[in-house]
Amino acid sequence: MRLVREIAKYRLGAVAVLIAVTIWFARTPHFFEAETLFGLTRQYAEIGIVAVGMTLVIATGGIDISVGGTAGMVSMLLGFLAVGHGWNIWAALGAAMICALGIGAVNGFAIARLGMEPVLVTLATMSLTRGIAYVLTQGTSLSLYSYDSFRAISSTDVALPGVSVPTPAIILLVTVAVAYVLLRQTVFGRQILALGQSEAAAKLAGIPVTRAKFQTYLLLSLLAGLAGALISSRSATAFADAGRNYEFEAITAVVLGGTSLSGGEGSLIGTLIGVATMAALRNGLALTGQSDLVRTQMLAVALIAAVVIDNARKKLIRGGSNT
Amino acid sequence: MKGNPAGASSTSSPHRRAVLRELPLLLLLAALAAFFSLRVHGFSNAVNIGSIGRDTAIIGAMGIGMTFVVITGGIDLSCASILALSSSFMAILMQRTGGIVFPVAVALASSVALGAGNAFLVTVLEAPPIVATLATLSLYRVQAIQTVTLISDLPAGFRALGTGVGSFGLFALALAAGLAGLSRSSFGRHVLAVGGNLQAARLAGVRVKRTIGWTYAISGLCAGLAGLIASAMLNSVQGNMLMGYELDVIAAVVIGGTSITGGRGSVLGTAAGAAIMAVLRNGLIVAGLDVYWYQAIIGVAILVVGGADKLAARRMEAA
Repeated sequence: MRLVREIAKYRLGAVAVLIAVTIWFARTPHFFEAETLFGLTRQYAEIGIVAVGMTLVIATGGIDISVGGTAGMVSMLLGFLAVGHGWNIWAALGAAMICALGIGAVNGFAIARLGMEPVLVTLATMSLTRGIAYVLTQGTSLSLYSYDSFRAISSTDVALPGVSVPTPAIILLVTVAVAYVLLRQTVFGRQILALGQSEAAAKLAGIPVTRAKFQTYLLLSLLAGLAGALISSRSATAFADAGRNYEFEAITAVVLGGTSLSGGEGSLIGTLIGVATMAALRNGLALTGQSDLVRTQMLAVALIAAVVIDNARKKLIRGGSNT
Repeated sequence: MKGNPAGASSTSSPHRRAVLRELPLLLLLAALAAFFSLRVHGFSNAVNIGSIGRDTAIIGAMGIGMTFVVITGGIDLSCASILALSSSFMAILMQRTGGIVFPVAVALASSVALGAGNAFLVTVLEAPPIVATLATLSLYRVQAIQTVTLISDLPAGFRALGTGVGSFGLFALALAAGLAGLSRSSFGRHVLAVGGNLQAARLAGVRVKRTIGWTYAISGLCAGLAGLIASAMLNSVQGNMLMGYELDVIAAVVIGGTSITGGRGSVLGTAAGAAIMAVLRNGLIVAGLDVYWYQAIIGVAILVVGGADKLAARRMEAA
């Protein structure tokens, strides 16, 4: 009974919003065309990968708004090292990912070890990473067109029996699967959920709160870096603005998917549905000829709507358990 | 755990601590200014010092409002967007009517209304401040960009607000109001109480939501005021003006010693923090460094100051 209520209260909420958005745009020509959907999948896989990590961070009761900056930094470092300094593209990728991990370590250390506020810390690293990304080439973007093997990551499909699926989508699905197991089946996942419920209680219960939090931020920055690499691969360009607004889209997707911003719970399937909703919204708005500016506004409205839904759900659950 | 909330300002030791807290800030400011004037040619000429002063006024005015919000444990990422949107309304009215007083009144009124929008999201819809103001950051900004691309040549009388005297006068006014409001009024005590311990404040009869809501309206008003200074100084209004300045403002507040977890804050410290940010921004640009370096440095500054603050607090707790 409890399970039914849980499902009804959040997973289905996300599904309902997705269906509503889809119906709203259903009559728009080309909305369901395979080509549009595949292009969309490649792009939203990147946001989805970030959203998966964000789900874990939000489950700890934290937040990370430096993910877009980290993606931009990785993209620019790739170009800076490979194009500017003639590194092998994969070595450049490795170095850029290590820098992404470095940002995650800064976030994790400041938040978990020093006890600083996640908002403040990740606001600072957002500024830091964007700054680094721009400083590297004074803001000019670099073409990665000649690196065929690197471009292939994002442009190829993987042939599964019956269908061929864009590689980024496969990467996203693997990420979701790994995170799902991590959250539901491992000690680490239990620790995250416990400390998100009550950090004080988790500490008293002997849970290594600092380590678990640190690792969560590290993981998210790694995934943000991966998203940055995929963006560069898809657009065949290294540019400092890569990942702009990703923190926005990822947080919205997570909250739409029914993970509460107050921590202690995390639904990865919900996040996946949230990402699909964001993709459908984008697709619809683009096809109905709305400008990028309007899309940004709709994103803001969607974020507020997601929070309102989240609060309503929390009240429902609280009301339900009281009676 | 978060220090003692209400009544903290009436005992003597926090006062002394506040002075001690401000002293290193002024030393840092002096050191930075000395460094730049020795090493960077053109830093200490009159024109540049004037522009540092106006930058201080703009960042500081927004910072005063932000200080109130941060003391309650909140944050307002939308302040620079409020600045742009309220200034846009003003510029359009100035262009159409040629007047000054009415457009300025509209700018200030709309900035309060936009701040009230944040207050609605935070107190009525109960959205976390970071999420609510992240959303309005882009909502307001997009609106500003759609309202005004560029309006230049504002009325001559209005431009007086952007001169050294005008901008300093407006900033001094905001500073005086902020100081009095925080330490001499019951509203200020309520703000400190809410940030120190929300439950205790509620039990003590403080109208928590109303108090929090007002801080966002004040932050809006301060942004509107900063908008007057900025548009008068630039003699133009652009929808994308001062994009990203919210980070300068937050850095100024944090450097000024206001605790981001709430309950403790200093308006004077914020003013000093704003001067530090203005000197830093200006010095680096005059030195010919990329403005993007400044963006990276803001991040490091917030991390270092915030981290040092945490370590100091922990040491004090242990002692």
